[in-house]
Amino acid sequence: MRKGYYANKSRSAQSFARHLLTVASLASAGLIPSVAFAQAVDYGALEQLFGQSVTTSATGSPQRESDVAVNMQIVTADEIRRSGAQDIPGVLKHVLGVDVMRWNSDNADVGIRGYDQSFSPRVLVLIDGRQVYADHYSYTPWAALPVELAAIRQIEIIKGPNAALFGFNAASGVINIITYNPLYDDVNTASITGGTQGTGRTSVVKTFKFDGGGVRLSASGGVDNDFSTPVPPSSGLLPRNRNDRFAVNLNGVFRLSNTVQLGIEASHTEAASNDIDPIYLLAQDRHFTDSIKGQITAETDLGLLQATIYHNWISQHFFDGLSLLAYQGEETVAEAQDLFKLGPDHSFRLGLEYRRNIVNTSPFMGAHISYANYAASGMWDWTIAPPLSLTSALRWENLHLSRSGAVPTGYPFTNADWNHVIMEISYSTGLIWKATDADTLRFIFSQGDQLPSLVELGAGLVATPGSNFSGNPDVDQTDLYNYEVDWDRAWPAIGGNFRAAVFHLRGEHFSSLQGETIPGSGPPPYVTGTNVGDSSAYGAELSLTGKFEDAWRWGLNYRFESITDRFLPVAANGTLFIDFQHVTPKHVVKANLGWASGPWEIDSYFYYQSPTQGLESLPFGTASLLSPVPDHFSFDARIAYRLSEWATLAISGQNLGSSPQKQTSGPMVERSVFASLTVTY
Amino acid sequence: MSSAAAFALPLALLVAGVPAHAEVTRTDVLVATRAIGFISKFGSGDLRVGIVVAPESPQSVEEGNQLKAVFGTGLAVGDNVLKPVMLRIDQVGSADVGLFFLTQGAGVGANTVASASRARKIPCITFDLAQVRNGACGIGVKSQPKIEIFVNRKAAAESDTIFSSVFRLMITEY
Repeated sequence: MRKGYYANKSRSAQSFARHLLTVASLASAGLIPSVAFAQAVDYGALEQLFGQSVTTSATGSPQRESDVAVNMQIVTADEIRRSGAQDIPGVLKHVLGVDVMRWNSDNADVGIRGYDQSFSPRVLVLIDGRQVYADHYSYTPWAALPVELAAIRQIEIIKGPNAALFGFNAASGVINIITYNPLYDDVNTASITGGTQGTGRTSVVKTFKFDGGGVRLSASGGVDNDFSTPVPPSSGLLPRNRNDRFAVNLNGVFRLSNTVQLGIEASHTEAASNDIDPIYLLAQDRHFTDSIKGQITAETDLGLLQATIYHNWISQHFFDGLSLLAYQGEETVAEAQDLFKLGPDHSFRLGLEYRRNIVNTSPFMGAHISYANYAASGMWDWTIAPPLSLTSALRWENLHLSRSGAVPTGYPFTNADWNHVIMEISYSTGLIWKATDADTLRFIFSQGDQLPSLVELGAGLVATPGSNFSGNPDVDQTDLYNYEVDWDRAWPAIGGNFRAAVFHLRGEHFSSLQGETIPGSGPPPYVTGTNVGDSSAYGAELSLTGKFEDAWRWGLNYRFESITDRFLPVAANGTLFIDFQHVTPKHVVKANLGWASGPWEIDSYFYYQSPTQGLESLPFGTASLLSPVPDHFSFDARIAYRLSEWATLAISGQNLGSSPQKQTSGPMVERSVFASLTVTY
Repeated sequence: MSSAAAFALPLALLVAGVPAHAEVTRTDVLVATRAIGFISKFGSGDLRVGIVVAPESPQSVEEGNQLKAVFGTGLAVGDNVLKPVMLRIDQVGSADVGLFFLTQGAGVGANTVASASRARKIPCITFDLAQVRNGACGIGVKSQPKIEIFVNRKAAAESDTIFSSVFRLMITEY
């Protein structure tokens, strides 16, 4: 008989020490256990049992959405489908506290609680725990993510930094995209979509179930012509190219025994899109990404052990009229985790992680910037009393930066200048008080660390007789601190919930790609990146959701945020492509109203943002300035009719109000309407 | 609104509780059966569930009848089909079942169920949370105002009731 936890009547500090020693010995033997953010949990069964979404993204441990010690919102598969959105930023646009800058039809940047910018670097994005945030340029290439909307079980949005669990770059928040598990879930859909902007797209998700396992194959392909609105002169001289995207993903989970599961995943994407680059110029961008991942999960007497290893390849070719850049980045991550409970009131997670990133310099070729990061982390969830629990997490990181290869003539740095070690300790804690059966209060402190991108650290390298630019190995990471109080109240009378949050975010050492000039051994001097100063924010979020008469559902939310930047004079008022104080809207209101009955689903989404400003590039990308972005109201909708048990016809639209509409400092967005036929089989 | 009123309003909302449920609902039963699906000792196929009633307790008998009605001729839960068998407390020592479903109001008869559960290594589940706290039954369930699963570690261990680590992390243990 397998020994169960309940057979061990008491555990003590000795057993805790034994856990630590065991995990350490496994690691030293090369049997790296793994991180359990992925598919170790049968989300569907737990969701059905507890009647609400289940997540592992708050602490690494499975928890109900209402029990997490962070401010989290989960967007379910039902909400994704009914949003009518064509991509993930389109889904996120409706989420309280999420900022989406829509630049082009296939290009958007996502921020959490403001602090959004082109090539947004402060939101860590993962798919089933695998990082899809691109470290080489510190952004998320949304169009190149190898996931189909129909394959997503839920999108988990953590607001506020969470470095203690996720490490570097979980700075403003984390978005973890959880797909269906082919071992437990049988998802089979095919859809064809056509619409404005010359859109044509097909998507297929097919699950193969067999005794002891399951494999899901998902793939899609599509093209569109992008918006037809004029590209403003401040966005450069390039015309938009036609967008295209092809993605394929193979995900298998196999039950090796009653207690051991093996997961294997591989993906490939190719995507061409028109992107607004970090200096706010329109760039013709093409991404190729590949990934392979293996994960083993074992239910043992030592707890739930998981070992994960994955490798990501990303190739980015982009041209913004000034520079033709080609980056080949690679990332290897090996993670280990043990999740266990000691006694009735204490849960722990112990984790180890090794990560290596490397990218070439460009446009000057012949050198590479890389780092290796070693991290150890722990989480302790203590039920102090039935209504009171305290969750604390700690993470230690040790990052070794390096450079290898050629240097241009007259370069002000040598490879030895990159021999830096960055050691960081991150901490987060959340006290949850379930004041009544309906009310939950959270008191949260968390930290985040945003690493400069590898481009910012030196992979960006222009060495010409006319102008010189280089990333700078001396740019520091940005440290963020979040202080927050949340109140959630279940409100049965309206069939929904009320949520309120007040937060204060403080960030130190924000950086810009430009700002410092370093002379080389000959003219011209090198323009390089630098830290430009600090910024802080105060904000509040209010949200109300409800249902009535079974068929209707609604939501209304509001965010207020006030940001103060304290940047060096050279970077004040948006002159160095970085500004949060003027760019983040103070007031954002989002609302939705939906009705579903019989074969019909009708949903509408409303968005209002107060006047703000945006960053525009000055000629040749030498500096930036602020330009006004008027307040605006936008309206999205979807109407779907189920033709039969297996076929659904849907018409959806984005920006259905005023069109074209200026929503950012970039090109105006225009109305989009799509018709899709989805077959479930 | 005065500042005092502004302060008092959220406090008043906080102390406003939700009334506790009094009788077994279909949701209670569905939650209980789903929780049973997380007990690792059951294989697939039919599982005979002994609904244990104390004949002298009207509350126990009524709940027993409600449970039997919800189970019907068999309730499919995951890989199992739960088949109800009505049991008097004096039958628990020999009945051919794989799980005891202890009704509320069993009183001291719950001790007999506890003994049988331990001796015969048969898991016990109930809506009577007091019986979980005092160790007579290993698993307790409530669905209102929020779904919660309670496990008495000692009682569960003694009846070989084993859950996965993931499940243990999401429940309340005594």
